[in-house]
Amino acid sequence: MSSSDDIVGASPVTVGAVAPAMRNRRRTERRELIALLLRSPAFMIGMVVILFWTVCGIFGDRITPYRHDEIVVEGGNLLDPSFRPSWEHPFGLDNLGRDVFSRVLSGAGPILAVAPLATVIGVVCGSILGLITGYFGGTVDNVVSRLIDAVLALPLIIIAIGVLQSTGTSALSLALVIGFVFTPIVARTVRSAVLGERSLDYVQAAKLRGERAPYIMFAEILPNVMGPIIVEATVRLGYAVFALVTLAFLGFGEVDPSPDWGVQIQEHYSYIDQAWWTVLWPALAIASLVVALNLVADSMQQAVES
Amino acid sequence: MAGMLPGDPARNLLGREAPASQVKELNHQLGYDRPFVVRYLDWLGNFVTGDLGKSARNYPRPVSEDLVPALKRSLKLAGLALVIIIPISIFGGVLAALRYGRPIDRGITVVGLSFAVIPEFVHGIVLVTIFGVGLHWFPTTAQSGSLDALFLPACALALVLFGYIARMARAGTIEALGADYTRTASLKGLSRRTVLQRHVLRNSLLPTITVIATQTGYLFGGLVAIELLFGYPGIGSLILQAANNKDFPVLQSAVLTIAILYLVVTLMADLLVSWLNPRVRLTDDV
Repeated sequence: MSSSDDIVGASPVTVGAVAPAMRNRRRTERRELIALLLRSPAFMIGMVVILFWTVCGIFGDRITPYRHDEIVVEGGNLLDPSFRPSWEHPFGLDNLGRDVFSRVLSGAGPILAVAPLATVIGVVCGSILGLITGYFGGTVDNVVSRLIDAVLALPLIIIAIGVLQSTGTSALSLALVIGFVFTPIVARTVRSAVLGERSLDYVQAAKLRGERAPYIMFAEILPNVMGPIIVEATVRLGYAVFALVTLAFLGFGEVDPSPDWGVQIQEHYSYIDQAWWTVLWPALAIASLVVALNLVADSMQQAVES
Repeated sequence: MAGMLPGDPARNLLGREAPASQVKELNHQLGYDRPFVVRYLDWLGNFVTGDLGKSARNYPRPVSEDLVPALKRSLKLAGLALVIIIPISIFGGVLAALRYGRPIDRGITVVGLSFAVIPEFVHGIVLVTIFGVGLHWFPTTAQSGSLDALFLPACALALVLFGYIARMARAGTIEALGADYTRTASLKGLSRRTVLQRHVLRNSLLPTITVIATQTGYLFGGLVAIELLFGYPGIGSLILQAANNKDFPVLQSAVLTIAILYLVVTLMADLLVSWLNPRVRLTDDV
């Protein structure tokens, strides 16, 4: 029996002995991380806001005072004093006489339906790409890195406009195009995390055991770079919301009866001189959601790094 | 990319009722019946020689006739945004670094990063509501192109940049403050002011130059939404219009122009950094 067979033969024993210890260590680390996060005010504020918008998004019309497409006042216009914010309609009425408060509350729905999907696409594809380029290095790494640079030379919004114009706009095409642009960005983060792991003992040990590259990448390295990946996913979720509302504002997204914040602004931005309430509230809603996501991402990053 | 957009250019020009033979004839004249790759290479060849082709929508108007003035307007707006934000964000970043770990540091960092994730047009709406509609200090549109009309849109773009530039300036300053040469400079008795000016700032601003260059590229993404919001006819408006009109030659040329601008700006930043700091010339980062 050759010496390499010995090592391969020994591998189940080694895995059996080492893996539970490592799993335990990871579990303790995770528990400490969560405890750390729960004590961070930024994290808690962010989570409360995100939770609020998620609940509003899920229940929508069932909890808002009016349906999002319900015309409360027929035949009026934005110059009517009754359209201004009042006790009855705290955020005022829009140009079709719909209650802006109800529309802003349910506006998170369409955004939170697509943004996580786009993020998952980008993070899964980006992690695979990052693991491959980081692990193999060399030519694979060089070629993929240049391709990544090429994609990053254009702003997301401009790529998205070009692609969506040809594919047509649907929830799926939006998620795919945003996920596609996120892929190289995520890949870059994951790649640099993998580069840090590649030379560590456990990877060398797995190589000596004769493990195959996919096993080492996904079963050995991946669990150890989950921290940066989760942080990156949260950051990307914020940018997915950013991209979705911007595209909806530009006319590439949901359409009229939808309470999507970007759509509301798109329909009313030209009336801002007469009826600021039709655009300011959806704008502030967007700001609150992306800032909340950013607070969560930022505090997770600090927790992971500490 | 743009060559794959659906919609028939000749059909767009001639209208719905035109007979199919005429459409086919015009498509042949315009060269749209050639394979995609041939068309693309042909267009690219012309582009590098300065011939941007003709608009498909307003045929035979040359693309450059719309693109060049739009680009100039956008550069004016983007330039104003950079002039406003570069000094402010560098100051903010350096201040945060000097007060490292104190509330003011945390405040600048959190506010900066929060502003950076808010879309440009959201900043624009809040600014217009307060300073345009509420206080009447500035016009609510930028159509006139005058400096005061451009101020609000430039601020909206600038707010997004603040976080990135300030974060880089902060990180660079923290690193420079902890470096050996800074300690040497303090120990040889130089005043704090001289140490900061001559030793800390000079080194800390190097990474900031790179991030400004990268962000300038992204500025053009923000321009699309900001120009729509403020009704400013720049390159962002042109791209949006071209996409909606399926005007491929205009769309292609405008998008390629932005990509080239990004490459030129980042290249210039790299050259500037290596000129300012001989140490980076031979090292390559991983």
